[in-house]
Amino acid sequence: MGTARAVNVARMPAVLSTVTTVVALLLAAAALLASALNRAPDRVQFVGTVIVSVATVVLVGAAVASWIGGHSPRETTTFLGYALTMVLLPAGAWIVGKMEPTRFGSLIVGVAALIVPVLVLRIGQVFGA
Amino acid sequence: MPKPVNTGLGRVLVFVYGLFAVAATCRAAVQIIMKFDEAPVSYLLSALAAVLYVVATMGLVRGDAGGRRLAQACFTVELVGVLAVGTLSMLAPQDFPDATVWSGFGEGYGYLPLVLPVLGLIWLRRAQPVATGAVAEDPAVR
Repeated sequence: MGTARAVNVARMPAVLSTVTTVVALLLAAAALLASALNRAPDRVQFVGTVIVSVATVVLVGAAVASWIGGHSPRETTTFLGYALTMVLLPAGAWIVGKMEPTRFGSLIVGVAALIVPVLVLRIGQVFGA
Repeated sequence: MPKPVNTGLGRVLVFVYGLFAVAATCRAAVQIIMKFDEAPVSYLLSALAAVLYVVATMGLVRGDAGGRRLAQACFTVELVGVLAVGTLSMLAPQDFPDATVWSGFGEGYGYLPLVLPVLGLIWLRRAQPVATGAVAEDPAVR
């Protein structure tokens, strides 16, 4: 039973990393397309931002859970910094994007969504998952 | 026709610069507090880059004549810095035992440290009124 749990904890973040990366890239595609079509941030981007935010929270939650389970990050401070940035970034970009109701608002949402996969990668590196 | 510095593409720059300001400041702080002795030159450069990003962001957010000059100065120093450090890190890698934001022309950050100041300088130039230095009240033009 002990091994089964360890396998579970070790594998979960990998799946969640992929899911987070995919939804973030979808949001980026939608937002950058909207920007190219001269559209301000819309409902699609809002829903995308919510989904990506949930994914990042779940991912960080899983990482913290496996940390509590004994797998500590290689660089604790850096991990916490990246985790916090990743969880706040999509929502922050949405708020700033709404302040700019032009194509550039969509560009902000899109650029932030592109940064999320990079943060997922870096979190994997500093966490040593 | 003068355009405000801090809306449109300028707002995108504010966002990205703000992000870089936070990221670079945190990174430099962690490096200096945790392991300053390992690569003092790299970490001091990281700190300098962080300060420049913070000041540039503030200048862009203000968007008036002074803020614009501030941002312009920061972009220029950044561009010189990223070119100099990028070249040096290629020619004499032993002097940079740990990477800075500017190492390899910012390759660790998708070359954004090289692209951003160029983009910023172009943006400031485009957003600048025709009569250089004559207009001080940009926010009013909005």
